[in-house]
Amino acid sequence: MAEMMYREALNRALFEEMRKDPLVFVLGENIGERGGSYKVTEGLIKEFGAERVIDTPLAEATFTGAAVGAALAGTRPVVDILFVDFTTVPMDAIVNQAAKYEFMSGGQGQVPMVLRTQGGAGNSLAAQHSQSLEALFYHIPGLKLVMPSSPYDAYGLLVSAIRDDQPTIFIEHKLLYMTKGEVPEEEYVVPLGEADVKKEGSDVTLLTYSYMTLKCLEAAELLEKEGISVEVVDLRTLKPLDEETILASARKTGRVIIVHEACKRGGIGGDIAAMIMEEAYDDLDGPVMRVCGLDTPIPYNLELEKVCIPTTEDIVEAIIKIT
Amino acid sequence: MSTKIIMPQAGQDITEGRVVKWLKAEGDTVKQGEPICEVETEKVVFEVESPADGVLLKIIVPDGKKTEIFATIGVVGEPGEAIDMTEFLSDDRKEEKEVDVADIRKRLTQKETGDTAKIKVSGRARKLAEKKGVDLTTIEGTGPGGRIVEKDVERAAAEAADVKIRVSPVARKMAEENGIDLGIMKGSGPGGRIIKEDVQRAIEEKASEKKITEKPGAAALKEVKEVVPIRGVRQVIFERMHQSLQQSAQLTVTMEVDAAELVRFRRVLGEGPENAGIRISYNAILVKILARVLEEHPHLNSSVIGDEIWIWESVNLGVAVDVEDGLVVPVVRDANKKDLIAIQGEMDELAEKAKSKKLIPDDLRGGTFTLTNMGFLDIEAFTPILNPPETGILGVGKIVEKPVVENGDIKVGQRMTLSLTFDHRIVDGADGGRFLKRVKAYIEEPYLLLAAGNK
Amino acid sequence: MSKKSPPKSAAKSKTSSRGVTEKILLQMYRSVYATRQFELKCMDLYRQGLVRGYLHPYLGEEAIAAGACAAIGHDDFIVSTHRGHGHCISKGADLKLMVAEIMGRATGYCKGRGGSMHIFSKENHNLGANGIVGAGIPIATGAAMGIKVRKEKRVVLVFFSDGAANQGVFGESMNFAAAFELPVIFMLENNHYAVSTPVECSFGNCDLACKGPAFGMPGICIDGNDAVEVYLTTKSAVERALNGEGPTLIEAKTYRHGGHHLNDPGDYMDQKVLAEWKARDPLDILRGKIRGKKKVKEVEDQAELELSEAIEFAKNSPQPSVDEFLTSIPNF
Repeated sequence: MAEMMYREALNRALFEEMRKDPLVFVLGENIGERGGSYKVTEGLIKEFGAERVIDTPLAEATFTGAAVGAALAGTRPVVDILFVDFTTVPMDAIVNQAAKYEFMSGGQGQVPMVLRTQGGAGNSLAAQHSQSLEALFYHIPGLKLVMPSSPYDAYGLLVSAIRDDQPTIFIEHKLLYMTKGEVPEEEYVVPLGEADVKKEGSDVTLLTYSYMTLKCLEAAELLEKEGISVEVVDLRTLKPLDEETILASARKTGRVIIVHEACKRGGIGGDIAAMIMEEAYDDLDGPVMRVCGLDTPIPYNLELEKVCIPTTEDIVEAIIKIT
Repeated sequence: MSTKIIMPQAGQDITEGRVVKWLKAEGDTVKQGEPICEVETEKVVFEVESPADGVLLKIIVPDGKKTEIFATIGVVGEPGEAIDMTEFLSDDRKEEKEVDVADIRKRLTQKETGDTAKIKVSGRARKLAEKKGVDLTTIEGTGPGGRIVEKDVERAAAEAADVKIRVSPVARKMAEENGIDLGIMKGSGPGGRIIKEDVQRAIEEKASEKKITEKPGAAALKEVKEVVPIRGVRQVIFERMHQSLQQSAQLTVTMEVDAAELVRFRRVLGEGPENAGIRISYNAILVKILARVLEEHPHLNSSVIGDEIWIWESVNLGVAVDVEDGLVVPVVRDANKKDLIAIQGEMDELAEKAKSKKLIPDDLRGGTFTLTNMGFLDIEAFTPILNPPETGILGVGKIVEKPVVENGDIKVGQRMTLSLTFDHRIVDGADGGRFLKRVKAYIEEPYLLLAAGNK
Repeated sequence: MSKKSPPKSAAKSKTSSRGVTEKILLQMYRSVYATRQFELKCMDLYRQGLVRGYLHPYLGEEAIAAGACAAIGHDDFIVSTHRGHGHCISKGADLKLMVAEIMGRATGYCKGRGGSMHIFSKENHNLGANGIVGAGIPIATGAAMGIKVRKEKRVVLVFFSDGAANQGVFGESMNFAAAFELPVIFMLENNHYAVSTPVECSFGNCDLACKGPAFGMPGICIDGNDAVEVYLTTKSAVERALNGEGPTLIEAKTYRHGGHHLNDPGDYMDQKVLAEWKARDPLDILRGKIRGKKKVKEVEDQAELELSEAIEFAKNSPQPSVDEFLTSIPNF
């Protein structure tokens, strides 16, 4: 085991997969010499050259669409989009092309591409660089959606996503890049579609993913001292959704809170809550609750930004309310 | 004046930096904007400029050491300036405040929203609520301390049943005014809604029914003059008194006491120059006495809740007041902690509110024992009925002059009869007697109230 | 390398004001100088933690905004970019409200909600900076359409970079504006880098001005470090637009004096080329064309005074109220 940063784990996954499979290549803005804004692609260009580490023109619609084409032509492109906010520019390539090609072609035209991007607030980057837009992709049949919270998961899930034959949206979080965690030295995968119980508990279930996992674990630890046993389920992959693990935990504790940074209205939490009501209503001891971001664009001012995003305190409060 | 040199912010996600090298030594003269040291963050080295003109007074973070961004790494000031570093650095950025779970709990208890676990509710009421499917969060409690008691749930259940009936607002109002039970009616409006005409019909039917049921047999002997619906205060009294007798085993014991000292005590209080203008009533003194005795005998300051006896910490004395349409019992809270003047003031205020019908529900809630005085109606002794969920009520009769035998002589005494009703399920006769005896002692020697512990 | 080096022809007109009045020269100088000082001060404020988020300095490119904004009127619109402080200042923004915004204060142009990347000023007809590269180009095209619908005599001046010229919306907007003869001036600030990617690596044809004729409008390549040249070229484009002849593409060549944002050291930039460009500082070039050195000094002193007052104002301004913010969120 070695301790490494989230961004280093992602970097390692790219290195290993590119070494192993010459069909894997990365493309995006400023990922070559500069190594990407968060250094995830650092060093790749030295080993693999400009043919497989492509600094694209600033043209998301085109290079994402091009990745779809490259995937159809038998490669495994990993597209890098600086901010999830910018994925709205190539939405056609993602929604109408990548997600649907295999289906429309009767299974002939697979699109084994990964679109890596990062989102979330917390750095005063204001309304166009701080969003959590996963629900947009969650809503599109044909896409897989991954949002890891730890270096271990980041590595294992990126490896799986690259090897997977369907298009995968892989959303990292800007506040996670510098976080550290244990990562085994040998190669491993974290399969897509498997949630991870990050902490076991018996009184209440927190369902969460990405950066909010850290906040949920903090809240769980605080309440453990108070005699409330909190289970934290990190969904890791949002599509396919690990309904089995979610329902097992809901049935076990009888109380569920879904925590995500994206705004509540139209968020993924609502869908998961409905699924739990449909499948496990009789095992619940109260309504499924949500702790989510406010329904507002993210403001620049740091104090205003803070109130838009769930805090550990908000999570603790929700747990106390329903236990 | 000294100025801090801080570890500069060098990126959104960068939390610390390292001082590579100080370009100036302590004591060196520096100019504002002049490079003063080099710092490094994430492979980027840059110069930090002096924030002011003066002398580099102190290097806090030496070459090669790391620190958090915005931490003070050095100080620029006047030559020879002395600074208290502890104070100077006291406003440096602090760690994010930790989450205070206890504080969150406190805040939530105050809010008490959407959470039945935090609501004060009796076991019995909770059980009934479960049975009847009543949401406890929507009920206002009328028990001590705002606790939800059984009858609150009953009322809520009745209202809820009512709500489910589809009825127009006008029809509902008419039904309420005429005592029509909407639950047994069929509506003729859209979707089976009960409308005005339906209620009108029911009122007419009820009137003719009355005539029919009254006439046979009874009709020959008595004529109906007026039918008075049992509503408002009367309805509350009606239900409570009935409930009182149904749900407890009431025993009344009486005792005649010498009221001469009480009369004198009250007169002296009223006469003293210190008390000019302050009238103290017998009831106020009796409240004070009862509060004292209840502190001594807390088992009478209690309620039966479910299968438990709850002894109250608060001593809240209800004082029955006769008003136009019935009887109300406003409550003097924490009577054991108040002096006579305070008690009198509160009682006057409550009596005034009762007369002008301005009592608010809170004035009537939370009693733990009741005092009822019928002396003004020349009644000497009676059997008071418990005011549920209390377990004791003291009735006080008129003070009457009577011949009494004292040491073999017949003298004119001032006598008063006390009637104590208590819940015999939890208070034995002898306990009741002992309680009454203490009340007697204070009435006969009111100055005992001055003893230690009195407030 | 030759593609990146400064235009040699510029040297000839180094000291010539080419008939531009001293009033205009001083107005432009004020813009360039105030922008330069503004950026340096903001970087200080950032290091102290008073400014957060992203800060993209306009250092080295000041002459473009200064010259172009001097050529349009108060009622004409501009559309800005993430590197927009210079556009904003040159269009007449109040430095107080700008600094306050960049410091996230309640008194700022956008109540502290926008920050450096999103300054908007209705009063100055500045339709806003933008965090999405290229997003301003269709917005400007649409604003010009609005002008036409309202039958007004106004123009829209849109700034964007070489990076944005690679977005699909650039070509689409150029075509749209030309097809409808819209009064837009497309000001392509070619600072040679899209974040860290050099122009030569992201264009098949590095002559960006040639894209104008391809879409049916003039494409003029100029020295972006010469405010006078920018002014005169923009002036003719404005006349064309007001005459109903349609849009113009101006490629103004310039060079960033540092990395993409203030925390980007810009290691990928060729230091020799950078030094050459720095030797052709737009501030010095413009100063060299103004005869009245006393007036230059006056302009500098005045700008510095305004700026220090603005910083004081911002520092003393309240943070936005969290409660007010929360109650302002609509419940859709």
